[in-house]
Amino acid sequence: MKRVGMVGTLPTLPGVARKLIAMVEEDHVSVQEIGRLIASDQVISARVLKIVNSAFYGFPGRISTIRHALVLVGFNVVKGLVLSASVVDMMTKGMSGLWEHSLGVALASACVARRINEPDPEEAAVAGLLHDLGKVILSVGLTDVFAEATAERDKRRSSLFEAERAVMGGLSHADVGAWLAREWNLPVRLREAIEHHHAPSHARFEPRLVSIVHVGNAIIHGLDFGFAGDRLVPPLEMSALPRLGLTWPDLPPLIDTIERMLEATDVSDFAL
Amino acid sequence: MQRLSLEQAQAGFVLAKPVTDDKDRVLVGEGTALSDALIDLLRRRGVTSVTVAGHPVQTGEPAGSATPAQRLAFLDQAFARHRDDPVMAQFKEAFIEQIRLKSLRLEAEAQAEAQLALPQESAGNAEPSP
Repeated sequence: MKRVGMVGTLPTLPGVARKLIAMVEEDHVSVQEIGRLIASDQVISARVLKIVNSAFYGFPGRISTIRHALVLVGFNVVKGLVLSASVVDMMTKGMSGLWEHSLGVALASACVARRINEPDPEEAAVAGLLHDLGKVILSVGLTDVFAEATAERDKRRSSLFEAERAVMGGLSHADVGAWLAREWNLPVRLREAIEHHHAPSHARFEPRLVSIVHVGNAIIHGLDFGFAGDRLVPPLEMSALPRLGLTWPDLPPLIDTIERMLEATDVSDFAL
Repeated sequence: MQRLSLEQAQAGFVLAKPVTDDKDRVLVGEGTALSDALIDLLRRRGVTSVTVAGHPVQTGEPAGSATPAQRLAFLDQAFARHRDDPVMAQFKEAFIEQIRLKSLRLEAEAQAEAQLALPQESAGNAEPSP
């Protein structure tokens, strides 16, 4: 992990997202305060408004202010969107196709969460969006390590994940992403989704959320949407579906729902 | 023109923009055709992306645009490493079943559209002129 410390330009989380994460830890925060904080960053506000008004959220009416968005779609959604809007620039700089992959996994995770009646599908979407954060760091900040990993992948004809572990002494993008999540003080739930999306049974606190992202990620690989470093379907953990109360016959219609959602979503809506 | 990660670039693709290093020095000029050796060289120089002519790689394409045959061929390749894994065999089956579901759905939609189109036409004809 030493080499991670050598990342020249460590990606930073914009102030608004940082303050928002700190703010929600406190108990007495009003909608007004939150609205004011978000509105103080014009770029982030514009992105959040664009996304809540997109087909993804199904709001035909125009939501014109952050306050309005907070009331209509709820605080959790807006919080997730601020976090998402804050990482867009960084994520679109990663290897080409990774942004589409991440958006796909966000959408698929939300679909899985809705299918099993999770109370907070928006959180699943954010966890899905961020799950490959480590690949962004590798492809943008640790280019030599990343080049080694891709060469190793080609040599072994393996997944990028396996190649990373071979050249990084057992570590992978999941560990790199978890490290950044810690640096950013992201909620533990999100950090676990990033760290264990390849092996949800290793999650200590939120195996359910992690399993949702695990399944969402595998489905997006199987639908061949975007590009995350290889065109292979990652192994599905045997316990993941039972943990979510899903059985094999549930999958085809769920995959179909996800594919239809992808068809209806314009990826460019999300990259302002 | 398409921006690709170096992993996606293949021999034969033609550069639509020059490739520069981190100090903006041109490494390879526009119009150059990539070769495996050149891709390897760029990788060693820390280049992570290139912009090529045309749209040779299908990423970010509208979802669901692949034909069933293309989807099945992709699944064979994407699951090839898990041939002996019963969980992955079932997972692959779920995708194959979804491809079937989708074909049925598209067929039904096409039929419904065809049925809708007919009465509309006759209604149009029967409309009295003002």
